Amino acid sequence: MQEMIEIRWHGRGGQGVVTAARLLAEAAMEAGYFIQAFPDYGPERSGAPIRAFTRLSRSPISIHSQVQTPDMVIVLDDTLLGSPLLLEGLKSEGWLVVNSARSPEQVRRQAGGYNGRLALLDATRIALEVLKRNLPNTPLLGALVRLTGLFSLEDLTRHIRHHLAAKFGEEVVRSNLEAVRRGFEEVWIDPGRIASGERPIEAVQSGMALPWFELPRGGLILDAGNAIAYRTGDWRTFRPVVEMEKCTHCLYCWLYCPDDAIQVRGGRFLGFDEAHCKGCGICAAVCPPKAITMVEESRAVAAA
Amino acid sequence: MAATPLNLKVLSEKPTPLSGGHRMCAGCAEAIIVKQVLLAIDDPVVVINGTGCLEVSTTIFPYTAWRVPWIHVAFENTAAVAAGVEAAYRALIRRGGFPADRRVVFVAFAGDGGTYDIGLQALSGALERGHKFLYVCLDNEGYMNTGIQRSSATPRGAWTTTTPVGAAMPGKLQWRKDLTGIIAAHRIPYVAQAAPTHWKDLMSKVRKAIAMDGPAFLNVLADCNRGWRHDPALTLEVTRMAIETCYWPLFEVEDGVWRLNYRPRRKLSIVEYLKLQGRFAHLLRPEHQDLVAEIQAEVDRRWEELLRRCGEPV
Repeated sequence: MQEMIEIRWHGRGGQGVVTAARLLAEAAMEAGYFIQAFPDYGPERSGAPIRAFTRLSRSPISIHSQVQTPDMVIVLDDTLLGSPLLLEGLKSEGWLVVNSARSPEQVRRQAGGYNGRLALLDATRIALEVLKRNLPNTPLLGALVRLTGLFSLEDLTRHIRHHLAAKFGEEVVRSNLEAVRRGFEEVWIDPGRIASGERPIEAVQSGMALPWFELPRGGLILDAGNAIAYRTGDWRTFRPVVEMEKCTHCLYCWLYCPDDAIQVRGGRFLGFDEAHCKGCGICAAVCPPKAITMVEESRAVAAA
Repeated sequence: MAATPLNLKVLSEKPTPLSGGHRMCAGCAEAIIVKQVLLAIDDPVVVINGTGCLEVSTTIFPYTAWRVPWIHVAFENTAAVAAGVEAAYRALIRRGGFPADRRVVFVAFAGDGGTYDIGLQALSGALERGHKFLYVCLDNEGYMNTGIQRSSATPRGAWTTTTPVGAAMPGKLQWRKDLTGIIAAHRIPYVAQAAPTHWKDLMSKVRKAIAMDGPAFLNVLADCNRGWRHDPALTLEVTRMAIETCYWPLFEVEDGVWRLNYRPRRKLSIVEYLKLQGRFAHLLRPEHQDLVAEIQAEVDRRWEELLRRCGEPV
């Protein structure tokens, strides 16, 4: 193996992203590696995209920044594949690892025409079948052992047994080990079609709008309310649907929407701002004539 | 100029103070409260925002959700900076650098961590010096931004990550601090408690507060569905239950005169409030019956004390 492997994890709050980053690091530590594992600092926001980082090295690690040029980008939620910064900095010989039930072609297309190394695992299905809960990180760990060869499945098994046995019964330990084993066996690996030295995807724009020396003094943001350009609509798992004939235009939904996502003109309710609605369901809860109902986002999209 | 009537059809014509695209949690009450507070004010506003969820999630560089001038300061000095901004404004007017007839309103927002605990000294000082500003405490009863740790606003019996629930302890052991009472003891012109469910009450209080010739303080219950552990859609239902159980009374203290603003027709049992929230789930188990009785007794005691102060029949 190379001296150091840097991994960036992408998922949504509540999916176990931070735990996965830590579990992999701990298992590697027991196998003799120097490690780091840490989340991207920020407020807890369930459903919001979050990141975590893992570094594994043969020698002591002297850098402490976030991972900028990962050897591996691991995606726990395939709805994040379209996000522009997902593949930022991924090395040309690096791996994209995705938890998805979709085909490799679909995943590559969704990831903006990515043609580098790809590994796919339907970790959610394995987790639901074996653990009876949506915890995709456990099967993914098995897939990562296979992919990196950093340590053996036995090493990981020993670590997980040790980690879980203190808190849980034998049944929980056994089902987790089963999930890991299935991840190891079922991961689908595609080395991609890139020639040496070629980029797997067009260089992506960095998140920082300006280099530091061109920033306004004091970090001032002069464009008031420019957060409107930031979309939070993809946090949603439920979306509001209105029966217009029931609406009395009382505007309680407008008053109580935390995200300014109720469109009103001339004192009349017009509809929802889908780019910003986070699907909290407050509008449906406060609607006096019950004109608003919450519908599962995936179904609403399929119906449309 | 007549104030904009507190009518939703009219208010919805005003530009909203916070844009969409901020990154507060789905269902966050703080965003609702900020909207209500600032929509109540017709004059130009400067917002001073102490560290916390509101600051972190509304201003992730290079974005800001604020459509009003906004300044961020640390936990401990929100009130000190608000005082400084207000003093600078008065100094500018004195030197002829700003028209004296152009009123500007200064509003400070901070959480309970930054108000009950860390910023209390700066707040007390600014109130005593008599700066003309409105301080709004968004009280979500804990350090939610850093991952749900207890504060002195966390109620007794509540689970947080630093007051775990188990064989050794049943969540937080201490009663919550009566901050509104402490602020009222400063004898400033206006102190009130409010909640976003009673929006007209809240917005009227903001208008009274900014009309005062001196400091004003508003303590607003700010439901945190992540920390209180409930479905985000229930934000306003939980808040309503806090009021109907008299856990969070709506009242004001105007020039030393206490007035109750809302009295539930039938005061509900505190269990109606507790049972909606995961942070109190353990209290519903039989072994914590005594603790629930204690909590009920404390709610009753504080409520009756408030009724007496307000000259209401107990």
